[in-house]
Amino acid sequence: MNYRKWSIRTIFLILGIISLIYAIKSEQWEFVREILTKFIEYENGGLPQLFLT
Amino acid sequence: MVKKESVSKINMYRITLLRTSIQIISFILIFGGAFGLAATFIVLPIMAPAGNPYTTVMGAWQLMELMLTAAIFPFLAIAIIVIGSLTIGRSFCAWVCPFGLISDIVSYLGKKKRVSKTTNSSMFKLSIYIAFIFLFIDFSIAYNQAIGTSIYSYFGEFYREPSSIIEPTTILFSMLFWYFYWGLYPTGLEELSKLLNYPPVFWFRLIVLILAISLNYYIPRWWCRWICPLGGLMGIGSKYKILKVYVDPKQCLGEKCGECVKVCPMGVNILDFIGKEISSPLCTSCLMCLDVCPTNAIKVRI
Repeated sequence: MNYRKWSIRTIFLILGIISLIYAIKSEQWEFVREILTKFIEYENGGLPQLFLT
Repeated sequence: MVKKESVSKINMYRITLLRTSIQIISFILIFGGAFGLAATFIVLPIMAPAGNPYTTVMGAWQLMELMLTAAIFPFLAIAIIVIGSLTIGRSFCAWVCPFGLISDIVSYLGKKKRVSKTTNSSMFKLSIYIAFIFLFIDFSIAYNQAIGTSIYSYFGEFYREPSSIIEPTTILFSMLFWYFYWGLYPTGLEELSKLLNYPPVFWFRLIVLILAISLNYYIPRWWCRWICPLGGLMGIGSKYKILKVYVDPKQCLGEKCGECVKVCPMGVNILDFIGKEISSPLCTSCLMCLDVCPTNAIKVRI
């Protein structure tokens, strides 16, 4: 058993789980739903405004 | 080799066929809005454009940038990237990512050129640098947002998602989608002069997209290997993934065979890992090596 690998794995998994708990606590899924259900003008590379000016 | 000669081609590539089917189904589900599916709150470690109205899931990298530039700490994106890479590594790159499917289609048609393993592994570092450069930009924007400074003039339309300027999925499914949706293309010969008035950033992104897709013809998944910032971040963690691909030294024929090295779309030199798990940050667990191995020396294990 590679203890070094398992300790790195465990530390990062703990970090990931802590992040997940904070994400649930701060209801970050609502941010995802909001982004996915609305029009995002800044992902269009300036379309159509840049083309119309 | 002898063992596989009697086996039909479909049987030989059964995992690849399964993977391609999953990729196609995932592609349909990711853009499921076009088929009446509602947007979800699912975040996956893939590149999914949030700017396309039909997208049903969110890419972890996009979420990270959108949250950071809105001055929100991206706990959710970090959790998905860390837990995902430590458990199944970069499997989502091979099995789910929509750009992965496009890259695979082009590379199936193409003439594969071998890239030396030193070039391959040093070029992988480029994706990590790209990821951290964009994260630095995102943090700077977050800081400016927090102190109330306007940064719109510096980044223009890209102030919420700076990496989208070079991100092919966003360019293809978001920028080009809206380009056709709004009918901005020339409709006749007399309108061709319109093209000259297009903003340079449009042409730049279009060239990036064309390169990102077409170069797969010679170097399969070159974008995923060397540029993708999410791939870079996931690659760091995937070195320690729990689900491993292992090469059995008793069954492997080594240099005499080398079939696995020939088919690996990420250019991993699998023969370097005989008797070990494939811990390369480039490995996406696509399992093509497992498919072609004549002695079944490659195995998946925990």
